Amino acid sequence: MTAVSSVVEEARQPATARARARVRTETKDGIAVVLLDDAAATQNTITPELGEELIASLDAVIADASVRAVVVASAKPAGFLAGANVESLRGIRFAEDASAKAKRLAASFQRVARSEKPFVALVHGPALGGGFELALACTHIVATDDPRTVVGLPEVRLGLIPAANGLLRVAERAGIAVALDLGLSGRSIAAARARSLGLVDEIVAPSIALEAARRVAKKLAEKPKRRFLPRVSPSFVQRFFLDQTRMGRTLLARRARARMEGRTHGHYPAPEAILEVLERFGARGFSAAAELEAKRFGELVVGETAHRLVELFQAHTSAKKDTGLDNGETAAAARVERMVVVGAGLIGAGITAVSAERGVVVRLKERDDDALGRGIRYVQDHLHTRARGGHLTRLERARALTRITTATAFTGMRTADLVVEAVYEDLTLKHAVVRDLEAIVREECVIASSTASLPIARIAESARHPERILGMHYFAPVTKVPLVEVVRGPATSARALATAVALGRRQGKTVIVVKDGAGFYTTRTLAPFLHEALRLVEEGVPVDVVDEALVEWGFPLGPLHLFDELGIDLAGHVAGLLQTAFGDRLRAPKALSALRLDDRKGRKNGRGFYLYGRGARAEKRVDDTVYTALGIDPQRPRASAPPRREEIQARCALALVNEALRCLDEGVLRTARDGDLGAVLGLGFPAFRGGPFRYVDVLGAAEVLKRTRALEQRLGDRFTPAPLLVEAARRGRRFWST
Amino acid sequence: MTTPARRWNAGSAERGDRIALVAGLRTPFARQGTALGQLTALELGQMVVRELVARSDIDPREVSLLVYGQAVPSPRVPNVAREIVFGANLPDSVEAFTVVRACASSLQATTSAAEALLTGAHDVAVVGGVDSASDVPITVSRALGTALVDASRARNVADKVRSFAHLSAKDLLPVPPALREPSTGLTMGEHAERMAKDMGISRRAQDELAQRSHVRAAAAWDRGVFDQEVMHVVAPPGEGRPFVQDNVLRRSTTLESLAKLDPVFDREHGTITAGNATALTDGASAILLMTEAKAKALGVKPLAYLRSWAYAALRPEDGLLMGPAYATPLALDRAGVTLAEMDLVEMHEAFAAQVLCNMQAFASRRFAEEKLGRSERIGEIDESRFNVHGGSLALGHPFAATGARLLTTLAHELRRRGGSLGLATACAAGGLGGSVVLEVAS
Repeated sequence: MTAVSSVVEEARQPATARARARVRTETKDGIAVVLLDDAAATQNTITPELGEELIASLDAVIADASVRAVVVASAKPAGFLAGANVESLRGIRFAEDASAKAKRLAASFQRVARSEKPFVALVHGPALGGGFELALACTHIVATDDPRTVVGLPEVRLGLIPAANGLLRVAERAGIAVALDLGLSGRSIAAARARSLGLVDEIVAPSIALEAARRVAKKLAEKPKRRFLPRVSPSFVQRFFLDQTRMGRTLLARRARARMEGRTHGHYPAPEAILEVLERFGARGFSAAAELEAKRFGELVVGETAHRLVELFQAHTSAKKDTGLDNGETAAAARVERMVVVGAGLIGAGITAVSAERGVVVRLKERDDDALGRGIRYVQDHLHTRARGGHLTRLERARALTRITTATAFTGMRTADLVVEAVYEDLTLKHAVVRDLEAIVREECVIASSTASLPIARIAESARHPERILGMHYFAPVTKVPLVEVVRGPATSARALATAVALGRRQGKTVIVVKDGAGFYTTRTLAPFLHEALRLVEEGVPVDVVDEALVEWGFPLGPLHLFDELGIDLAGHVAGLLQTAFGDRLRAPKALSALRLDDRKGRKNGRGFYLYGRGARAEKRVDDTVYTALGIDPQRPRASAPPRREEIQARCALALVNEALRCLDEGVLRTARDGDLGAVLGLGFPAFRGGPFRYVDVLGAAEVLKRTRALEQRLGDRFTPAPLLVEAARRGRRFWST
Repeated sequence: MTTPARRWNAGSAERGDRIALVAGLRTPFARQGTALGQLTALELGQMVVRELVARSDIDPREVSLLVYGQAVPSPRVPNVAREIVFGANLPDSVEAFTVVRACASSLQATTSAAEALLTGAHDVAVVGGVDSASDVPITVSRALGTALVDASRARNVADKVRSFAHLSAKDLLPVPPALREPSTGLTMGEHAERMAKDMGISRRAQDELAQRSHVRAAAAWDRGVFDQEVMHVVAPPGEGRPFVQDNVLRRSTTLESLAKLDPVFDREHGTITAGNATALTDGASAILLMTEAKAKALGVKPLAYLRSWAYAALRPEDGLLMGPAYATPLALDRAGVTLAEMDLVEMHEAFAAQVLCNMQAFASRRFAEEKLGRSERIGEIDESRFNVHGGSLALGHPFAATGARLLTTLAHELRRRGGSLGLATACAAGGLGGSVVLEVAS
């Protein structure tokens, strides 16, 4: 019997029970158990209703003289308490309202923290955000050793900050450095790690968790916990220096700020707020920091960035439930136990890594042992990094590696449930691979191509069973980019599709399902963006000026830098394909072939728009010889009147947005949601802008149309507005209903 | 040791009841501390079993038993067989045990699994063996061990300290495992040296055998004979390059170069050198076994069937490594065949001297009469059918991995030659020997 079910069991025959709809309290022998159990949901979140009941219940047990100690637990097997309910946050209009709400909850938690009575939090499953803050307010935290038991403060991912003093309590328990790390990264940490940081007091088996929590509560009521006396150890000395001295705090803040600015480019206010609150905590203490925290929280909740990030979070959640099947279609996904990955390059090795890490047995195939060896080392390095980051234990890392075998011939593949080919983007080669695979795999085996551009219909054209062929377009590095674009060919069966979608999710990816066609959604949308940047360079705008303008707009990398990363040769190859399919609109600028003639492939051969190798510094520097290769005199005063930043941004971004709208119009995209997720996760479209469709909604279709038309007049047909944009502008239509 | 009666005796072996050797595989063998030096024995075993199971193309759920041999087990992984299950993409429900019969450990693993299959308890088993000379249990001296135990039981600090008081500096040195016979106090090399002297085996004959082993092994590698039997280790830790071929083989070996080496075990009067003895090696091997009926049901074509097997033991002082000469006649009798009917013989080459001693015994009527109590000698071994692709001297000898290597090479070569019967035999520490007769599927 689990702790949770035993709680439920006992709750049926309570000694004195107080039942509310979402929070129940049961008191026996002077020990009250406050039980979170939102009947309306599978998981407890802080809705306004639950929040009020929680506050009332906590106050009640504090006031109840017959209660000597309190256990706070959840009746949900799915988890303790996730943070604030996202839906209810969106309704808040004014910063003051949000601050007041946050303060009310924080004050309640503060009453728990200050209470004479010991409070024991029993954490089983995730305790995130407000849930973790509640636990932190308790005297003692008992966590179960279930792998699902994690704690964290993920608010930053929604553009928010923890608003019930969680950051401050983490700082109190584990130091400001840990609070900064958890707050800024938003990551969750396992119970064992939390315990070693001092964020959890005790770890017990789930089966005895409630009993243990009760026993601890009783013991603490009889003999209060002694204040923790830190031992003088190197880590203690370090912490004292960092937290208690001004020099240490300045150092911490400077380090965090430098790291943060490299990532946010000033677009995300939440990390800045977290830093500010913790600086205040270090300098002026808990109450002053709490005051600032509530203020900042209020401002953030009503800010645009948080809105966009919350919307994206909801898009993720909704995408997770999407089977990818058409309306009325049903098919059960086959569970992929064993898969084959053909090609051990960056993509193939990445797919191998994320699959093996999540329990799939992988057979990796390459032409020769050397290439296989490089692929395996890549996987080893990834797993090593994951283990060092605390995402995997040493045992899990070792186990993941044992799931992988390698082959230089098509052997040992007969039992595979799915194959992903990740060979070079060449139709003849892909046909050969499909033929070789079809000769050996079982009939039910799904064959996925990781092509970024080739239509699935073409790849499947000579297949014996085209119904099992589809696309699974991953993005480099696969271990980091959390997106898979699943491409349904004209013949692809519902079962094959459902199987691929389920596998993508198991690999930890957000999956969007798109219709077949050259470049699908992401590649096709990225191309005009990259092309436009290259045209600007052709016109004489310096490479770094173009890139900086788009980084400022919110892209993680500038487009020319991205060329270098993707491979200029590959980009040229894909551009040719797209031009064939879509004509002049996606015609590559001439500069692209000039670059290829100059043997510039980007980072992989150390020749691109930027300098690589020994001469390169940490700060990227433009390789000035690229101008000569493009027939531009680098000394020449760069373009008579250099375009303004806004001009550069508008040309590149609108080229992308316009193509995305066409994709929705043509049914390549099934929903605007997929378009936004795909662009943000796969192409680096600024998350705080919400994606191309949300961008149009926020700016207004009419305004976007006006700007696009202006570009069309000056620059030509490639900026002809997508019909969907024209229509949306005319009817005042929005792509998102929420 | 008896084989199950009826079903195994020649003439009454019912088709459908035989045990099929479906596939065999090994890692390349590496000299101690070289290409595989950073892998543990467990990792080596997992690696080869994983690849064997993958290549077999059978559903891993068909496997229900794993028997593995390890001559020098690690105290950290006492039942290596069970731990291999967890790293070989096999279901957790595969039951597993480890066997120890020194250098015949994977012969033992094979026949133990075969017996389990014959009882009907299992249909499909994976067997094999592993040893890593680079991952040996280095222990502490007896005195230090005792002190550590005492200290762990001491109640206070003073007693803890006192536990170590009587130790001398020498007691603190780590102790590597000795390849010394506990019953005689002699190392295996010293035993082989004594056998060579007792049976009049010359240095020259030993060097010639070693040389032939290297030449044959080199030719086999060049012709791709081992391609089906040896997996590639594409990313050995600490190595820059894939490891795809044994690194024990010395292509430059000549009789002259061998003759220059100094004897190791008896510097004055000895004949055994580093050139005619096996090197310490890391490696693992594995075999997929199933009942004949299961092979049919799965549509799998076996390489060979196990026809018979036998183990025997002798007094260590009478020639520690003479086991093959004792076990082979038993195995042949059980199969109802003679040595002359063997199309191939694979014998483990611990030392060239040991091979020559056994060959001499096989051919000797006096040995048969005095030691075996048989009127007929076992028979001459025809060199053209003996270790045709070289042996442990040239390929390497990770102790427990060798038996499965012998069986796999034997099965493949029998098929290649269109032969029908073959013998694999190995000596083992403690005065033990094991022999297995294979017959090719027909």
